[in-house]
Amino acid sequence: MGPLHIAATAKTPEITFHAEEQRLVLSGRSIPENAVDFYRPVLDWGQGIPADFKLVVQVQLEYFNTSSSKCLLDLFKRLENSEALEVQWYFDADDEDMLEAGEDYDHIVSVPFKFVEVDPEA
Amino acid sequence: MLLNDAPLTRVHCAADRWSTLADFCALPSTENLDKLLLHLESLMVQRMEDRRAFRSVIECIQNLERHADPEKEARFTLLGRTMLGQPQFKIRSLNAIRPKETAEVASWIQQYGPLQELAMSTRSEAGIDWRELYRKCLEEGGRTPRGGAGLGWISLARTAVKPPFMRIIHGNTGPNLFFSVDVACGS
Repeated sequence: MGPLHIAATAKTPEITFHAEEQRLVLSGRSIPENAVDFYRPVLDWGQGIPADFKLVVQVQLEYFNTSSSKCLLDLFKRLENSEALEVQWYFDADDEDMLEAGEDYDHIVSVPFKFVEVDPEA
Repeated sequence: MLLNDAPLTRVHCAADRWSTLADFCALPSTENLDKLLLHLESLMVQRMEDRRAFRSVIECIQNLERHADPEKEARFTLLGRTMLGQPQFKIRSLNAIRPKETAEVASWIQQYGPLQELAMSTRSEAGIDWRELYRKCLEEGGRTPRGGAGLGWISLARTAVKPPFMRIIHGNTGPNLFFSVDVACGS
């Protein structure tokens, strides 16, 4: 498993693979004009994950555009073959739309989703 | 660039009267639209519920970035008011369409026009299941490098008071796209 770190910008999220904890974290906002270009390295990285590799994908996004939503689906589908994968979908307690977005992916892909409610005041 | 804005507190005090929160009229360059987006975020996102409206704003502004003719001024207006303690927003835009993309935009309107009319003419309790439609489009729909080929329109419709309205208006300077959506917050 190769390293992966993409620094955040005003329109793109920080994406980091924490190898020791076997955790892939996407955080911030994902509203790039060309999401396909942005997510290509992440999808390429996902290609190299062995099927038996235990991986937790933590999605902690504040906003994402529809172009990014397709790329996130691609990422989850690419990881679908991993036997020990879990997606942890973070959402602020009052952000019903972000919860629903996670539920939509949960409905589409055959990957276990865990929803993590965050108190925005905390 | 013309940017009229009012603090959101004014909207909250304005009861049922619509206030213009932002009125942008400038070349739709990435730089100008990024500034507009940043400005609107600081203006709108004061409460968690307002994130919904800001997500709609992101889609609308990125549509401008995709389809607006970069050499002609585009107009983007955000209106707001408070009803029963909840903010409501109207998003309007008018832009010249890139000459090469007029046919694409026209065919796209043709595809979604009937859906819009169906939604407008159907009682809400028997209406379109926007969430199911969104999931279907997310999973099966086509895509372009910069967009979800219709997914944006459906995601806007999902949280709108009524589906987004789009029309091509043919003027002296060529075809323009008028876009309008009213966002429901706190419901």
